[in-house]
Amino acid sequence: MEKSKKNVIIYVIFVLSFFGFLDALYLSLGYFYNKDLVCSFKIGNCNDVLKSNYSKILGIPLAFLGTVFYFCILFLSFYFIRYQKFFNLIKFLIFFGFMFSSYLVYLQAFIIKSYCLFCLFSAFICLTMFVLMFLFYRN
Amino acid sequence: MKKSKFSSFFYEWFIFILIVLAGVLIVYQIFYSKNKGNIYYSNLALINQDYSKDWFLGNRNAKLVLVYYSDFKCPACAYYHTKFLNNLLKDFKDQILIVFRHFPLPGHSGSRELAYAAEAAGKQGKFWEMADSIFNNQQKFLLSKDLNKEIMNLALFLNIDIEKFKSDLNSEEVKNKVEKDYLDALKMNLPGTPSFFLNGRQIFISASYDEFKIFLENEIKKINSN
Repeated sequence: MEKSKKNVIIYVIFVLSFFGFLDALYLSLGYFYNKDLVCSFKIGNCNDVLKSNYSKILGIPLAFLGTVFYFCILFLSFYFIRYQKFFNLIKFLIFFGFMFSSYLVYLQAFIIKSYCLFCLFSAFICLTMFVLMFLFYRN
Repeated sequence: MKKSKFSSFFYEWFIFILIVLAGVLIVYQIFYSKNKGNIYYSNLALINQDYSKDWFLGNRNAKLVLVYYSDFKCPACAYYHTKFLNNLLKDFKDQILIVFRHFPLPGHSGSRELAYAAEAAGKQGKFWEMADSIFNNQQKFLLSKDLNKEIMNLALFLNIDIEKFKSDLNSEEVKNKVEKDYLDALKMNLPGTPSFFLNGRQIFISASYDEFKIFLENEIKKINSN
């Protein structure tokens, strides 16, 4: 892949991961400081998802892991832009992130049966990063 | 050459950190502006202000009338029911009337059955005992695989006529009562449970009882000075 093509893709990924970072951070704050004392009439409410049994891994809230994930990509893509290193690491992380976020969407759709808009936004970011990294790749 | 490379290194990472910090600050601002814990009225008026057929606590002639729409499987409702009701009665005595209305949410399977159970117990004079029991043991109901069994256990514990209870559970009267409250809630487009109305106006409150108590004391002063 041409160097300039790589750079363009990573620039876009930098911007995307920035928004993913903000989104995950917002959810993390919500998890730790939630004062929401209401059960929503409409199904498709963030609380159903964020308070589900699936919102933690090994005791760590998913939103927090998401924040760390996006920050890593943010950091690494900035590093690549500057020093042209870690392209494959970024690729690996994005692949992993896409697989995992697909699983989370599956959980929301079929197990929890409720959607959280912020979670779907994050999934969309992961999808876009995946498409950029793997489908625009031409050797 | 070395010097400019060094300073450009710091310059770039400084910009990076600034970008991240700016993002964090923005999110913090958005988050905290949406989560102020305070008390405020909305424009929504309670469409049914005839409390003669509702289950109530306190004084029927009280100046403060608090109506709440509740779902027995809603953890937020359990919170307010267990933490606020008794304290309100203790602190305001005959100055307050608390009215219970049903709003079993579609997303909570079994909450309708629990509403019927409370109404059926009410036919034998034990509505509040049943409601309190359900909310005090809500975890059990949320996790239970056999809701009817849990309901029957509660009825047994309350020492009521079980045959009458079973028959009332399925009666039109009990079902209509719950349906009426539910339809009113739909007409008002209530966002969820619990939904509170103070003297006929929808009010949003926080998790703090003390905050609510102070607010109510002020409302009483306002009413008395008119």
